[in-house]
Amino acid sequence: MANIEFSSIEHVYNANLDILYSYGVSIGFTEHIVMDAIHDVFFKLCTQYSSLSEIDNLKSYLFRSLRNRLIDIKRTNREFAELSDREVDDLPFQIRVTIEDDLIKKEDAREIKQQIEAFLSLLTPRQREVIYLRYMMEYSYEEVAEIMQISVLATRNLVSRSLAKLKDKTLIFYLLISLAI
Amino acid sequence: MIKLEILRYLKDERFIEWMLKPTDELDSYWEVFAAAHPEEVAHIEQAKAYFKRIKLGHYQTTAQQRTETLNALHKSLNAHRRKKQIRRIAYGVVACAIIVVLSLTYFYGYMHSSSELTETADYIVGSELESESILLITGGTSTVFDSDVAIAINQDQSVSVSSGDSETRTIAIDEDTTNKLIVPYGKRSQVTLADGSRVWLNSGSSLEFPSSFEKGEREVSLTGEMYIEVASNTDKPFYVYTPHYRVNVYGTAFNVSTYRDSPSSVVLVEGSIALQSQQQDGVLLMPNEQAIFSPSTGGFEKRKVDPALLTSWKDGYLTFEDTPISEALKQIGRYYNLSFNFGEHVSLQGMTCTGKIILSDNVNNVMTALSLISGMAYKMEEGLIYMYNNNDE
Repeated sequence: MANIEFSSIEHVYNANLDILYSYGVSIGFTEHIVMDAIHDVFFKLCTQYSSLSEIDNLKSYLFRSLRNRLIDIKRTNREFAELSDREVDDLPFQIRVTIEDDLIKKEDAREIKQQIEAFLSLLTPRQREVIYLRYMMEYSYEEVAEIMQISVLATRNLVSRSLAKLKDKTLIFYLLISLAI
Repeated sequence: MIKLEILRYLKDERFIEWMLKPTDELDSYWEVFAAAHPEEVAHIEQAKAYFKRIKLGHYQTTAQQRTETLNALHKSLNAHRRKKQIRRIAYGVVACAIIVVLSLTYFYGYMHSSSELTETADYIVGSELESESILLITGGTSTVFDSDVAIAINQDQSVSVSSGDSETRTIAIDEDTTNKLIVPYGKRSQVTLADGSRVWLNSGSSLEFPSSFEKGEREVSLTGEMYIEVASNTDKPFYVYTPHYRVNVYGTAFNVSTYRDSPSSVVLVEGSIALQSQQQDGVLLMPNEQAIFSPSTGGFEKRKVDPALLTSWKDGYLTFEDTPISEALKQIGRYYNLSFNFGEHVSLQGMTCTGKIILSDNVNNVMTALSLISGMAYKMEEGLIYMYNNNDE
């Protein structure tokens, strides 16, 4: 079987490096491990396929492979870190918030950032991961499910489940509106 | 600056949640809200647009990280490919053996088979290998070239590289680094060293050379094959290191060939050189002499040759004189990055060829030339080259 040549994946590599890197770092690994894992993902891609057209959805393939590779690395390191199976599979997904908008004053930006972070901190790591893939990467539920290897329904549940806190507030809001009318 | 009316939404908990994690409940909440406050609809839309500009989980690699990892990937893929090639040749040998057995048993009674290729078991199968790039490593950085290059070390600590049709590039180097030029099968390169010595590097070779020859001795290391014209300098002896021996040079032109699959040899064109291996020291070579290294004894055997025969590759042609067909195919294979499988069975093994082959860009021309001088026929089909004995048909 022929391999994919380096020259034909170079542009794929360059086009996807930063988003894969962002994903890996957000999953909770150091930049060095993430870069190694990205190397492994592309190496495997080149040596296991003979053409890029054999892969249905290249972008979600890359994300899924990177995720699996990082979990593998974590499992291998488990012995040193004394982690349980559960801890290994629970990726501590964190989302860093960056506001670089000239139109927003520094103190306002800080406040918005704090609000977003406060909201994200109420979520589970898995919920954060779905939001990251849905919102930042603009993946469909089907693609997110494929990357995280969970069912589409579970993916939907992860984001559609409201925080209890909100429900109360909504009720108050409805109440206020009905009173106003 | 952003208006306060819009900013209000960006700081709103429910708005943030709606943006990141929209649910049916949130959708209806904001629908009701918009219906109740139609004057806010425009603000909400603008707030949405601003929110999109906030980056979540965004990290960026540095240019250095990018090139380093890209080079690492390129390197691992090349290493993988080389391993695979070795495996492929091994499979090829097995496949050849199977073909022979099948041919002997199955086709024995069917002399008038329709396929002309299967009429005889005596053929050599060649396949084109994937092309690799030339790699120049200077200090910590490596640069990749897709076509043959000419490299010159300049006095001002830089390397000029001209490659094919593109413009000449200049790469800065440190004075005390060792550089390495790796030329894969199917490619060739030229190097002008810091002292003006000129090197023609043949396919499948690598040369290590310093950025400057400040020290008392000039030293380079070679695997594969090169032709070198050493600039004369009696104060600074020139040494070529090969895997098994050292060539001591006293201002001269000669050819060193150290391929793993062919006997390692040195041919002197002019001047004088001495060879030095662990077992044998000070073997002096005269012009028109070739020394062949013997791995079993660790020493050298000398014989008279016409150097033009063995150095013509640098001028773009190969010369054969009663050369075994297998050796000729090896040389062609290196030049064009082809892999030929030689079965042990083949009566072709005893065949030789005599003549010149111009190394044109088209493999077909070369194979035609080889057929003419060897009396064999060849056929190209789906990237495989079949060589077989013409007279058997």
